[in-house]
Amino acid sequence: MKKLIFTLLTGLLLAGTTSAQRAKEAPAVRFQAVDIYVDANNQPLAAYQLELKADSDAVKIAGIEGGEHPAFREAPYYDPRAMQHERVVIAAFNTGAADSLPAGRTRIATVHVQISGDARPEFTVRLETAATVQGEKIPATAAARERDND
Amino acid sequence: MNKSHRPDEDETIEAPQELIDALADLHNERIFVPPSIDEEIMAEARRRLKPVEAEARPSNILAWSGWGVAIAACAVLVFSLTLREPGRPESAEMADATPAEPASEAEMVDAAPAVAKADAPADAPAAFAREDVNGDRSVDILDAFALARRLEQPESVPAAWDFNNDGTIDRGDVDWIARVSVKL
Repeated sequence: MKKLIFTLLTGLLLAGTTSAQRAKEAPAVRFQAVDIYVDANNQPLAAYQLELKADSDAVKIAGIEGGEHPAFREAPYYDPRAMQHERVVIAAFNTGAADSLPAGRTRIATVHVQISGDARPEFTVRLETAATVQGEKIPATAAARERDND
Repeated sequence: MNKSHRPDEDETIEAPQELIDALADLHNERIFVPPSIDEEIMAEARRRLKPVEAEARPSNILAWSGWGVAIAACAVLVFSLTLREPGRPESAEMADATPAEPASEAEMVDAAPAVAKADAPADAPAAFAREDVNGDRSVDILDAFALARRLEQPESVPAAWDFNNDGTIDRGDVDWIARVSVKL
């Protein structure tokens, strides 16, 4: 009987050690919000299309939400296949009047990503097009900024 | 020299007449089996064969159900192929799988329908793609934007702009272009 109990306890101890070791070996996962900004200078921004890309495949896109301005508060268009990948193209437009559109620098979307391990990925944004109320293309810039997790 | 142990072919063997008669009457003789024994044999046979039948039944059912599944799968496949018209997305998940959706700009040029060309003025350059609503020779969100703005105006829109082939030109077609624009 004592021998059986000893064997069982030893087995449990070994199993516990192994699972703890596995947990330690699994890469840590963290979530990060990446804010996307478009600066259309002083022109009202009516439409944009841009590509966001991370330089590491440790990054997986987990969700996409709209921006801060009411004109772009709804989630932009994106390909659902971008989920769980490190690259996405997002786009949105608003047919409202000029005074209902954002001008200057505005956060147009936020992309939530999952980062595995200790990777410190860099995010790059390429603005493909931007337009104002009549659909006229306007010079603009885009940028991505990781939000502080505090 | 050539001796054989077999009797000569000419040699005939004659059996006694009694034996011949007895053998001839053998099958004519009716053997009486009492009904009780007959029933007992039948009951025993049923009892022994029953488990075999029971074992055999599930496999038959499985075999039939397998055929049933195969036939049902074929029917669904044929039905879906019949329903799905070429170039028509199935649902809002169009961005995921649209056979008629141009995969590249080169394909888009080829896919431009004659209707779109007919709408263009004679001296206008050839249409880049059907989805190039604003005519800037690229398909992007600005085309969806242009169509959305056009839909807000009372003017009629070309029939060729029914991109999702649902018979009407509406917000669904705007979404269609937008999804094509962001497709990876």
